[in-house]
Amino acid sequence: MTHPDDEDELLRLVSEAFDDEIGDPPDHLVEAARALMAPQPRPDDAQPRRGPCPPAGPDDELADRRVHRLERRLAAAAATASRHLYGSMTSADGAITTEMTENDEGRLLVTIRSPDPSLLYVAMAWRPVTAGGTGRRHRLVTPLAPDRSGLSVHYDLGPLDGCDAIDLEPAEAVFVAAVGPEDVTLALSLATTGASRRAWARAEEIHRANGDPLADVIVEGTAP
Amino acid sequence: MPHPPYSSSSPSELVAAALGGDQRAWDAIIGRYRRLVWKAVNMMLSDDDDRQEAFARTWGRLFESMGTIRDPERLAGWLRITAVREAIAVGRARSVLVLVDDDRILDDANGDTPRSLRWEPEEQLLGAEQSAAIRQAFHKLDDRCRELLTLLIVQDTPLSYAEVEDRLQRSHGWIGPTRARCLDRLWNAPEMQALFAATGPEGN
Repeated sequence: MTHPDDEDELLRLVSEAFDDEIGDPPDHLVEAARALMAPQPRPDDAQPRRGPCPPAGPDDELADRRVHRLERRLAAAAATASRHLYGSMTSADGAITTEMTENDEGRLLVTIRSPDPSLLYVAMAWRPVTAGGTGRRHRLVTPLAPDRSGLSVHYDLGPLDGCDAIDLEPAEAVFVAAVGPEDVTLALSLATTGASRRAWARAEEIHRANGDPLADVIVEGTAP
Repeated sequence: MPHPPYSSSSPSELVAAALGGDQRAWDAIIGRYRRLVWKAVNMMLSDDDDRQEAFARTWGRLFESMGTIRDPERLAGWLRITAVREAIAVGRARSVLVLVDDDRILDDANGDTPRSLRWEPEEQLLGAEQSAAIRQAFHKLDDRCRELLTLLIVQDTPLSYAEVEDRLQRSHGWIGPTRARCLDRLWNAPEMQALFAATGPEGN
C-alpha cells in the first residue's frame, strides 16, 4: 500500500492507540471545570474614591496578575511643574488596548479599545501608589461601544492628587455571565463620558434582548 | 427516563444558554466535549500533570472567551484548537516540547523522498504494547507535527484543511505535504519500526 491511503490508516492507528489509553478525564478535573461557573465570592471592590488619591493601605495580593506601574513624570514644559502619567498596554491576547493618561487638570483618564466587534465586556483594575505605599485595588468592568475603528470606551477615573504612580492591570475580556449588578453600579457611577454611556446603552439592549435582569440594573443606574 | 437538560441542544444553543449564566448548559458543554479536550491534551503531552493543567486551562479559556467566540456552532473546533494551543503553552513552560517553525527542518530530517508505508491495516489489531509504542513514537514528534496530527485526528465535527491552515496561519496547500512528512517521521521512529517489524506489516 502507498500514500495516501496508508496515511489515513496510520492516523487511525494513532487515534486508536490513544483511545485505548485515555478514556475519560479524571472526575476532579471535570468537577473543577464545572465549578468555573459556580458562584464565586467576589473580590472586595468597594466604590473607588473620586477625591484625592487615598492614603496607602494594606498591600493587596497582585502577584498573579499582569501589573504595570505608570509613574507620574515631570512634563516637558517643566516650568509648570506639572507631572503627567501615561501608559498604553495590551491584553494577554493582544486584542484589547488600555490607554491610561492624565489630563491637564490632573485627572486620571482611561480609554479601552478593541478591533473585535463581538466583544462585549472587559475588566481592568488599578491601584494608586503614594509615597507611603500602595492603596486599595479598584476594578472596573465595562462594556464597549462601536466606534469608527471597532469598539472603545472612555472613563474619567478622578483626580490623581497625592499619587506618585498607578499600578495598572490592563483590560481583558470577561465572561458576560461573570458581570454582576455591583459591577454595573460601580461602573455607572463613573460613566460620565459619552462613550461610556453609549457602551452601557448597547449593553442594556443586549441584556434586554436576552431577557437578562441586568438590563434593569443598567436602566436604574443610568436614570437621572 | 428523561433526557438530561440540553442533551439535544446545538452548540450555539448551549453557548447562548451558558452565556446567560445557566450552569446546566455549562455542564452540558463540559459533558459533551470533555473527551475531545482530554484526548487532544493526551496526544500533545506525555506528562500527566501537564495534561491535567492543559485540560484545566482549556476550560478556563472557554469560560473567559465564550462571549467572544465568532461561530459558536463550531465550538468543537474551537475547543480542539484551544486544547492543542494550551498543551503547547504548558509544554513550553516546562521546556519539554521542540518547536519546529521551519518546514525545511522537517524536510531535512526526513530526506526528500518519504518512505512508503506498508502494512495490512485490516489485520492490524492493536494490543496494549503496540498502542504504547505508537503513543511513545507520537510523543517524540516535534510539536508542529503533533499539533497538526492532533487537529486532524481529534474530531467531533471535522475541520476542513482550509480551516486548519487558517487557524495555524499556514498557506493553502500546506497540510498535505506536511502531514505526509509528519506521518513519515512517525513511521520511521524506532518504536514503530520495531513494532511493525515484529508484528508482520511489510516495510520497504
